[in-house]
Amino acid sequence: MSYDPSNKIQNYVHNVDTSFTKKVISTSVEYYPGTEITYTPMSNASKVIYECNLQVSADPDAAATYLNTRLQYSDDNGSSWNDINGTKLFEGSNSGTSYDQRWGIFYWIFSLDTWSGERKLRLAGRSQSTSREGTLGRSYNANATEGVGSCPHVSIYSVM
Amino acid sequence: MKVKNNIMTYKVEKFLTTNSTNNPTSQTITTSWSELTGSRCNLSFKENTANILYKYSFYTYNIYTNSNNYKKTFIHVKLQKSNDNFSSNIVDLPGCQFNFSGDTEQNDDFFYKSCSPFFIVENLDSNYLRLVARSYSSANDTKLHRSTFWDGATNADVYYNPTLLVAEL
Repeated sequence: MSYDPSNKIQNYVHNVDTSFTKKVISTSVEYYPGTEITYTPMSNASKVIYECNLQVSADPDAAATYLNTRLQYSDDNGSSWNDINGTKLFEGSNSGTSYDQRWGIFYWIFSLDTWSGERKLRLAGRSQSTSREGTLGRSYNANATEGVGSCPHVSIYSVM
Repeated sequence: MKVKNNIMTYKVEKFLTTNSTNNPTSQTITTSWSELTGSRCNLSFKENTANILYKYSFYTYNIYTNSNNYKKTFIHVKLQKSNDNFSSNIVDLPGCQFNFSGDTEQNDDFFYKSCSPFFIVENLDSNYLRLVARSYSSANDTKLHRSTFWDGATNADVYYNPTLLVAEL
């Protein structure tokens, strides 16, 4: 008797954009670079799962960083974007000191109702205020040097 | 079942389930253990035991008390198994627990953060799993799933659907 691996996860697609460069998020809703994926679910999928792991640094506002992150979709090839309810996250903390080097790792799992045809998905967000900004994917190394950006890692798959 | 060259081969699908609670009610974690919304699942694997991947994602929201004072989020979370849907048989799974907190000293930490742990449970022999949580003390209570802060507003009402994925390995 042998066991086959599960067929419950199909059409697995990922996005790891190693050409990514860091991006400061301010008070306008902006695209989180490296998180966009164009995806067509399997025809008999029950759910689509979008997962993302990324890093945010408390920079330029070391004292406090708060981002408002949401998953968006576009059915017109990126001309317009729609926020998805159930994916909205207000996240961050207040250090209280302007010299605190804080880094946050965020790992989100979004379970989506399936759809037919091709759709674009991406993460976008804004800061709470101009004094609560943060930076996506800032690479900061020993001796206070900055290197290649730390890109988001994104995967999406159909659950059968 | 296929029979080829007089050898029988069974194809047994492994178990996988997902659950996402849409528009969840805000949940307050206090010093009493409580089940995290949407974390309970009923597994149906074919053998007596199975190795299981358990992955869950939820959001924590700092509690305002009064006069600009906030509780400092610090919670204990643990995975439990049961063979009777947590009626009377409730067993903590060794090695499947963690703490989650912001800065527990500073008064003004204002910590808001999602949390997405996963566990591997080897040789699981029960058909039910769930996560439970409690705060370290009443000063460390926290809320889950919903936020009133959003896009610069302080009186909004947005939410992050807690999501579970469980797979037989």
